[in-house]
Parts: sequence; structure tokens; C-alpha cells
Amino acid sequence: MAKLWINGDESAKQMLGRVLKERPLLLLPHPLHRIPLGVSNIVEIVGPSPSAKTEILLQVAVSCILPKSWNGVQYGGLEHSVLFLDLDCRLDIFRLSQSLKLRITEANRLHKITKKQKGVAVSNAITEHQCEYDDMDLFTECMKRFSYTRCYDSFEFLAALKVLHHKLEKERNTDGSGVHVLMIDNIGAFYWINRGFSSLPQWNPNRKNLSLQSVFETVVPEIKKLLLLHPMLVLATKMVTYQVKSSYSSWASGVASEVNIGKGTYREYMPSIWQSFVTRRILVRASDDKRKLQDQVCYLAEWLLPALNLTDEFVVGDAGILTLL
Amino acid sequence: MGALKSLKEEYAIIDANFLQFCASHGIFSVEDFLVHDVYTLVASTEQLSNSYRLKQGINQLLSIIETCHQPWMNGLMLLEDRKQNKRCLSTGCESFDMLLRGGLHEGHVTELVGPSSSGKTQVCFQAASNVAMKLGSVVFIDSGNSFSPTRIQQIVAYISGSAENKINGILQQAMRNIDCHAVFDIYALLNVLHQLKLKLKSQTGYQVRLIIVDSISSLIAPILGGSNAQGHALMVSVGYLLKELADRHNIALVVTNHMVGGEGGTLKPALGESWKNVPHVRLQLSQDHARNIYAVQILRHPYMASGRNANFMIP
Amino acid sequence: MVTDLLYNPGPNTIHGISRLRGGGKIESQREPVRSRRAREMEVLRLPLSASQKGRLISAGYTSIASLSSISPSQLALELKISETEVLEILKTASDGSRLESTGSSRTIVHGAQSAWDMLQEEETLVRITTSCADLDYILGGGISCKEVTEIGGVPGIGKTQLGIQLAVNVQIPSDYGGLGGKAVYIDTEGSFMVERALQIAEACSDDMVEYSCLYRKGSQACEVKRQPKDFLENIFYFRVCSYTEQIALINYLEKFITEHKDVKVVIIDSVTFHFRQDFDDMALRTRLLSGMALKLMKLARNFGVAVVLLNQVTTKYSDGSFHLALALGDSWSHASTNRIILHWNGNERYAYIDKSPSLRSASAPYSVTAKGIRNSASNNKRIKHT
Repeated sequence: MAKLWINGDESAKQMLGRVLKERPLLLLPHPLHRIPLGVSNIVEIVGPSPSAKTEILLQVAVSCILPKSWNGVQYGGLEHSVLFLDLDCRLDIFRLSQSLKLRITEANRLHKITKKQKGVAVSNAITEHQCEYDDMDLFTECMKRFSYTRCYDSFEFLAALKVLHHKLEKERNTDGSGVHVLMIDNIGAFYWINRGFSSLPQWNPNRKNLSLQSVFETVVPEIKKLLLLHPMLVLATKMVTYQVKSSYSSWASGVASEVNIGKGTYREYMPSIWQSFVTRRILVRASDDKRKLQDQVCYLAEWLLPALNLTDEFVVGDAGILTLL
Repeated sequence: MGALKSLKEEYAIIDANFLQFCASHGIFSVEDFLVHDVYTLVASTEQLSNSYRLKQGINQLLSIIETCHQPWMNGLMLLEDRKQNKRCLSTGCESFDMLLRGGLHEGHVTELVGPSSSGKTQVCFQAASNVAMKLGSVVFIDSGNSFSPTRIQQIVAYISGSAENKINGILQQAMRNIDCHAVFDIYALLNVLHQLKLKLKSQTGYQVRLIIVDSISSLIAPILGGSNAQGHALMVSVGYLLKELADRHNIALVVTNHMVGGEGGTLKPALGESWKNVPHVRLQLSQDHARNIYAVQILRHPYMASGRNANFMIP
Repeated sequence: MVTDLLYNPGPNTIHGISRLRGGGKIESQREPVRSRRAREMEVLRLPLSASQKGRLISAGYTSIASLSSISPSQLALELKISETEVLEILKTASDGSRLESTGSSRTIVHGAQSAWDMLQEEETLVRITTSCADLDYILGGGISCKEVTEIGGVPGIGKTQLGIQLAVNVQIPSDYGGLGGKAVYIDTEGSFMVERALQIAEACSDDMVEYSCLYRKGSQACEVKRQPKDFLENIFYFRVCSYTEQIALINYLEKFITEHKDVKVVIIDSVTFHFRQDFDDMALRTRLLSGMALKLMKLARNFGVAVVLLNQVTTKYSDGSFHLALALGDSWSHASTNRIILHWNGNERYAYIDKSPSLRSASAPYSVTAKGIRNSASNNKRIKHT
């Protein structure tokens, strides 16, 4: 009896099987495709402005909300819900709906081609109509999986996080759907406002300083608690600026580390509690290369954590992100 | 959100004991409560005698917090809202409208950036006249005494296609629709915007279609930089206020910015990197002096490729 | 379980959430239920010092409404500052929230004017003549009050002459079509010459006598000639020797003009002189210049004075050609409402409108004579509209 506890709960193989089933690895679209990402990974997409960070989030969102297949057509999506916390308050839903529609149309087109190749009969006018209705239904279903809120200051952000658990509980009870993806657009949005707070002289030593440090000392544990109960993949974008000379030197909180990439140097301004919370980091920026394909701007993506010495080049088209080979 | 004391009258559970408990943890307002870990607070009530009541108080605060943030909406609701409430306002200039696929979008903050005398104020006048004549009221916030009623009169005459002396009725109505505020510092701007916000919230009949701030860079430049971060903090707060006004009240917002010298002698937009995240749409204007034509190029747009440009003329 | 207790919402909340999530018509105002609670820190947007803001936020007063519910003496005790300071803070706060008590008047948000009213007002505004008919023509009648006009040119083109001419012309009485006001002349370079001013004043009063004799015969005889010295008495001259003095003076001008209500023109010659050399901290310079520009704009608007800034030009190389650009270039470019550039064209002096919200781009010739600025005497003069 006393020896039972030492026998172990399960073998490593059993554990691997269980983990892969409960916490599957998600295959995300370019440029996040190089590294397998599972739930409870915190991915930071870092870059100056403009560098297509929000665009990456939207393309991931489209891939998430599409189903794997619908009415026989393969869409290749992940069928997950997406929670989008917009701290920049800049998202225009039109872009998401446009990309989604184009993806659906493209998948339908490919499906028709494969059907023709297999020799299946081509649809006639009535089924065309039906297809349109089906497409609308599919579109509606997908859009319903995308949840959005915006936060105009760090208090609204904290408030949203603190009560997110309740919302997810309710959804789980009604829909039963499991995995979510949490997207935060521009985690550093309130940096200056919070810095303005912390520079105001504090008159009450008891009170917590409303600085970026203390806000994130609450944000990170809240997200951790959330992840315990509702496993999610967290994608956060972060805007960085090029090295500025002396105005950051008087700032006390946070670790002033620099990331030296290519020609520029980016300064890390987020508190260390957030930096250590992040498990993966990718840098995107506009390419300096003056060669422009048909007047389009090229972007470069490079994984910093884990550090792969590879740079992917991509452009942003109407349908989404196209990687250049 | 405010001080906890102000919640006393409304919620019986937030009584003097609860306030004292909160004060012992350094919590004086709802904002302070947000930066504290709820579980630690609850754990600290265990040792006290009235712990159940304190927990109920914490619970009450949490339910208040639930109403403090914007509600969650799904993609479909957002799209519906966009279709029903946020339309495009024509600027009165065809090629400009074609570049933006309709014109200035309600709910967007559009930035016009360009060197001196590149047509920014003229484009603002034209948009203001067009919207005032056809669509609704316009608020023009002027920081450089550049609002010229005679110029507006000329543009209204041009748009309506008749001679200046024959358009009195239309002119009067259009010009009554444009309200001009002269502001000369950032606090005055914040004041005007807040008052507008209050007015839009409280008076249901009052509706504004277009707000123009010309120029926002001259208001922010005196406070940006320096030893403390107040300048940047104010700039970002103004940005959020503009976005909130645009989104919640379905207003098209236009701000103008000037350019400063950058690396290698090229010009770049003023207000720095932190401002780049504020506008939804950024348009760069320039003037070809030789041919008297103006050019506009998209620097940033939520769903259109940057780099697209068009030429236009100013009447 | 603690989580159950914590996340078990009360009846209010569920009702609130279901109202928020309700289907049906999407309202354009997605306002959370407790709309009366201000979400942002209103105190931060008041023009108070950082330490005052810090004290207010530390004590928990984040909204303006919360300040109104407490008595000043109690607030003074809580914030540990004097009662006079508290009264000042409360006054700033109440200035900021004046709308909440006003009624439902159509246009006004406090301080606004509709464009129609401004149009009516503008038609009655008198402009300051430059004594050169061509120049007046392209300016729409002259230098307008309520605006900041910048005049730039290479040395020797006549900027100071034009400045002095305007300082004299503003004093032309209203029955001669002028403003009948006084002038403030701020000299940063030391280029003001009293003898020249006397000469110009004399020529001006001669012109006035001629005008009255020619056009106002009949009931009034030719009036007594106005002494040139009277003209000089109405020009308030200030000499500044550093940028700090310049900024201090501009800050003081508001008070000065409140006391001398008939000042109608402020001329600064030249406005950027002290900022061009030896400025180590460029960011500070930008801040000072833009702050100064805003103050001048405010002066022009609130007191209805014409502010004339004289500036130097440099040549800029762009698009393959040289052209004239004002000193301090882009960062100063938005500081004026109108901009006129004076330049040489062969042997002639020309004035060219570089920037104006209401005037067309045009150039006109002028000349500097013993009497001051006058029309160009050359035969092939022409006004060119571009």
C-alpha cells in the first residue's frame, strides 16, 4: 500500500499522448509557421511601426475561426474562438471580414477544381445559390467566433482581465467549445500614460504606484490564473521604437536591455515580470531593401526566442500574408 | 471610477469597516483595487472577525468592475455596427475620395501630414464645407488662426456651382453648421473635446459628423520631450480621446500634422514614434509647385496598401 | 471555494450583462451600464502642476465631480496644502466643467463661434495698409488683424522698413480708413532707426493732409497736420537681447495689451534671431519656439491685434533647384497664419505670398523710397498670380 505512490502515475509515453490531445500544437500561418506553438505559450510579436503586426494577428485569427471542413469543403482552419483585446483601439473589422471572405472563396475554388479533376459533376444553378447561402452561413459562424473589446486605458484592461474568467465560464457552459486564442494588440500601448503616472510624486507610501510595473504585476498573474482554468494561446504585439538617446535613462522601473538586430537597436521597456512571462518572441520590421515588388513593401520576420538565424520575407496582399521564397 | 468613498451611499455593503480594511492595504479608489491581487485580499480577510462581510464587499467591487470596461462584441455585431453606423463622408474632391474608396470614414482618425503649404488646411476646408452643406454639423478646432470664413464661402460657391452672390440661403445654412473653436494649448483642446463628449452623451438630438483639429502638432510640440513624461502621456491621452469620440459617436476625425527634418535631410512626420499608433489612416500631402497640383499618398490604412497615391487640385 | 464566491455575480451584474449583450438593434453608443462613472482620470487633464496632480490622485480624487462634493478646508487638510492653493485648484476644475450646468443651446460648447458669425465679423474688419497699393491688393486690403503674418526676406530687402511703415500706418485715424491704434515694436537685432521712423511718419502725415485736401473738401477744411512726433509717441519700443528676454516679453504682452487696449499691431524684428545661434539643446529650442508661436497666435486672436513677425531667409536646395525658405524651416513653418517672402527679381523688389489659408498665391512689386514703402515706380511692373 505504502509503495503505490512510488510507482508513478503514468509513463512518459502516456503523458505525451495525453498532453498532445489536451494541449495540441497549433499550426499557425506564415510568418509564425516555423515554430510549433501550443496553448499556454505566450508569444510576443515585436516590431516598430509600421510592420504588419496587427495584420499577422488578423491572419492568425482568420485561420483560427475557420473550421477544418464545412459541407465537404476543406478550409484548413482550427475552429477555435478568438478573444481580441484591442489596446490600440484601432482595429477595423472590415479587414478581417475581407480576408475571411477571400479565404472562403479561394477554398471553394480549389474544391471545385479538385472535384472537376476527380470527374465529379459540376454544380448547376440551384446548387450555386445553395452554395452562396452556405457561404453566408459559414461566414456568420466564423465571425461569431471572433470576440472583440477595446480598452481605452490600463484600468479598463485590468477590469477586462479580471472578469474574463466569468465570461469564459459562461461560454463553456453554453457552447462547450474548448480552446481559445487570446490576442492583445499592443501590450505596450499604455506605456507613456503609465509613465506619466509614475512620474507624479507619490504622497502616500502605503499606496501602490500606478506605474507600468504595478499594472503588469497584476496583469501577469491574472493571465496566469486564466490560463490555468482555460488553456489558451496568447499572442501579443508590442511596438518598439529605435534607440532614443537620453530620455529613457532617468526611468527607474524595468530592465533597460537592448536588442541589437540588424541596423537598428530596440530598447526593451516592458517590466521584467512581463519579459520573463513571454515564452516566444518574433521580430518583424519593414525591409530596408529598396527593391519593391510592384510598389509593395516587404517585411522581414525573425524569431528571437528561440533564436533561429533565419529571416523570412513576406508581403501583405489583399488575401493575406504571402511569404517570399 | 473614483474614490471608494463615493460608493458608500449606493452600496450598503461598502461601509466604514470595509473602507478601513481597504485603506490598510493602500486601496483608496477603484483604480487601486484593480492593481491588487484579489486572492491575496481575500486571504487577508480570513484573520479578521467580519471576514464574510468583507468578502461580500470585495464581491460587490468586482461586480462594479464588470461594468467598467467596454462590452465584448463578436465579429458579426462589429460588422453590423460598421455597416449601419459608420459611413463614408465625401471630401468634395473626387480623386481624394477615390483614393480613400468613398472618403473620410466615420470612426476613423485620419491624419494629414505634409510640409508647409502642402494643402492640408485647404483639404480640411473643403471637407468641412462639403460635409456642412450636405451631411451635418462640423466642428473645426483651430490652433493657428487659419480658419477663414471667406475661403469657406468661396468653396461653398464652387461646390454648389453658382456664383458667390447667389447662394445666400445655402451658404448661411452651411456656415451655421460649422463651429469653430480657437484653442492655443493642449489643455484647452482636452477641455473642448471633453465638453463635446459630454454634450454628445447628454443631448440625444445633437450630432456631429466631422471634427477637424488643425493642427494638432502645434499644440503638442511645446510639451513633447523634456525631463518628464507628461508631454508624451498627454499626447497619447489626446489620441485615445480622439479615437473614443470617433468610434463611440460615429464621427470622422481629421487631424493635421507638420513635418520635421529627419535623417539624411529627408522630412518625416512630427510628433515622433509614439504618435504613429494613434491615427487609423495616415495620408501624406505634397505640392508640386511647378504644376500647381497636389499629391496625396497613403502612409497607413487599415485595409488598403500603403503607397497608393493620387493627384488632386484645389479650387 | 474562494473562486465561487468571487465569481458568483450578484443580481445586478447578470442583468447588466444581459442588457449589454442583448441582440436586436445595435446601438451606436455601446455604453456600459454605469455611464455616470467617468472612466478616465479627469484630474490629469487639468492644467495643474505635477505635484498637485500627484496629491489629488494619492488622496483618491480622480474625477472632477469628486472634488465638488468636499469642502475646501477639508480638502486642504487631506492634501496637506494651503487653503488658497485648494481654492485655485477648485477654480481650475470648475472652469473645466462649465458645460455641465449650461442649458441646451445649439452650437455652444463654451467658446465656439459658428462660421456664419465669423463671416459677418470679418466683413467689418479693417486691415492695416502697407502704403503700397499692389502689395495691399494681393493681401486683400492689407495686413489683417487677428492673424499672425510672417514676412521673410534676405537682408537689405526692406523688412525693417516694412515693419516701421506698418507701425506708422496703424496709427492712421479711422476717418482716413485706418485703425487709429498704437504699435508695439520688439527689436531683437537693434535694427530700428528712430530717424527713419521720423521720416516715414512725416511722409505719412503729409499724405494724410494731401488726402484730406483732395477728397474731403467741403464741410471740413484741411485739418491741422499731425506732428510726426505724435506718431513716434504711439510706438511702444522694446529691445530684447536674448531668447529668455524675448520669451519673457511675449508672456508679458498679454498684460500689457490688456492695459493699453488700443495697441493694434505687434511687430517682432526679427523673431528667430536669438534662436539661431548656439542652441545646444535642439529639442528645447523646438519646444520654446512652438510655445512662443502658440502664445502669439493667442494674442492675435484674443485681442484682435495683427502680429507681424519679420524673419530671415536662407536658400534651400530641393528638387534640383534653389529656392528661398525661411530660417528655422520646418519646425517653425506652422507658426504663422500667412507668410510673405520678399525677394529680388533683377533690380526690383517683389513680395510673394507663400502661405495663406484665404489668399491666392501671388506676387507684387514694391519699392523702398525716402517716404517709406511705396508702389514700384518701374514701367513694366505687373502683379503676377500663380
